Amino acid sequence: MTLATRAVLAAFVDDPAGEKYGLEIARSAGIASGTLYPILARLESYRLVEGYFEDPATSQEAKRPPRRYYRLTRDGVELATEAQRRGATGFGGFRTGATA
Amino acid sequence: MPTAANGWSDLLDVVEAGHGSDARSLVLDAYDIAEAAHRGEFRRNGEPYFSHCVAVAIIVGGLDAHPEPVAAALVHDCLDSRTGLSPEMLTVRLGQDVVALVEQVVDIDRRGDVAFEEVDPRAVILKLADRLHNLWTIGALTRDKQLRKAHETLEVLAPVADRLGEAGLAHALRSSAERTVRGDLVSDPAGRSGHVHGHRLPSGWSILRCAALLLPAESRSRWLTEWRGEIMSLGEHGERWRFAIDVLLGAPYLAHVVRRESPVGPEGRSSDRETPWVP
Repeated sequence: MTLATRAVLAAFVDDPAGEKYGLEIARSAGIASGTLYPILARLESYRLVEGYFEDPATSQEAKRPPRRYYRLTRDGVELATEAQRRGATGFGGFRTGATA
Repeated sequence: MPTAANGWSDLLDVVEAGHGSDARSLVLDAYDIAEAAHRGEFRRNGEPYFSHCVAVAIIVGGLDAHPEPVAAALVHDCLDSRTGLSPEMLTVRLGQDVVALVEQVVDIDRRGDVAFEEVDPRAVILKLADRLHNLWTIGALTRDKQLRKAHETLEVLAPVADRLGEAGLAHALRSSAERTVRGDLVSDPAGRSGHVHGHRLPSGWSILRCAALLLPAESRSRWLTEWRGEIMSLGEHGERWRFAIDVLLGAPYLAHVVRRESPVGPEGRSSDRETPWVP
């Protein structure tokens, strides 16, 4: 797993059931948007995250275009927790210095 | 038969793989010249002018990744009084072949009634790519100009693409022009960006459209919808541009991932059924 992928998973760890949109994840992970989307596409294809467009009524109320949100699946939570544990025990932190 | 390329970084790699490191250097020289020539210059829709040059080069490179047409695409608007560059100056840096292509495109634009069969097909492709990208960013023009360019595209340029055997380019030109005629893309009062189906298009949108072109056709709408939701969360013009360029730089790899990772089944994938906006 690349550091960038671990950083993306780590962005969810504090709130594993929470949902985030891409920019939130990129900021939290410290990676560029161009790096983020391929990672999300891959994690989604592996069923480690699931993505969905928010209800148009919600975005209309907020007067902005609909966002696509992502959240960890059960497998994703396990992997993120494991990645964090390994990061804390010698694989290096993954909140900073992430690379593609 | 030249190998077609899909994105800027891919394009440089394909040019070098097919034609050597000198070919890559030629394209990078053209990139530097165009970037310097158009620095501080903006298009009517508020985007940096240089972004148009890169977008046209990517379109051209997708059809013909020889270094000369790609380099010509990058500098195709450099022989202009605003840049202070002459054909002789460009020839010293890029060679006669590249400059000849640019001059033929300039000639097409000036004369208006060109016999396309008498023009170097590479220059014609460049002209068509230029028009295609202009159609994507046409929202800042007056409605009269939009319609004039759209009709010229439908009546003259798309048939030229057909005659050159470029069916994909012809289709892209027709669909973009028809959308313009229908009024799907119209100018907004600020004159800096257009809107589609009532939604404003943000700064950097044409770059995101270029990025989406690198993706499989069936996935473009889904990603554009997501990116639009993201970019509209950014308040500042520069931030939106940085986002769009980031996405463009990552698009070749995203395309690779999207093509490679097979879906895990309709019930296993997150649903895109509710995709709310299709550009």
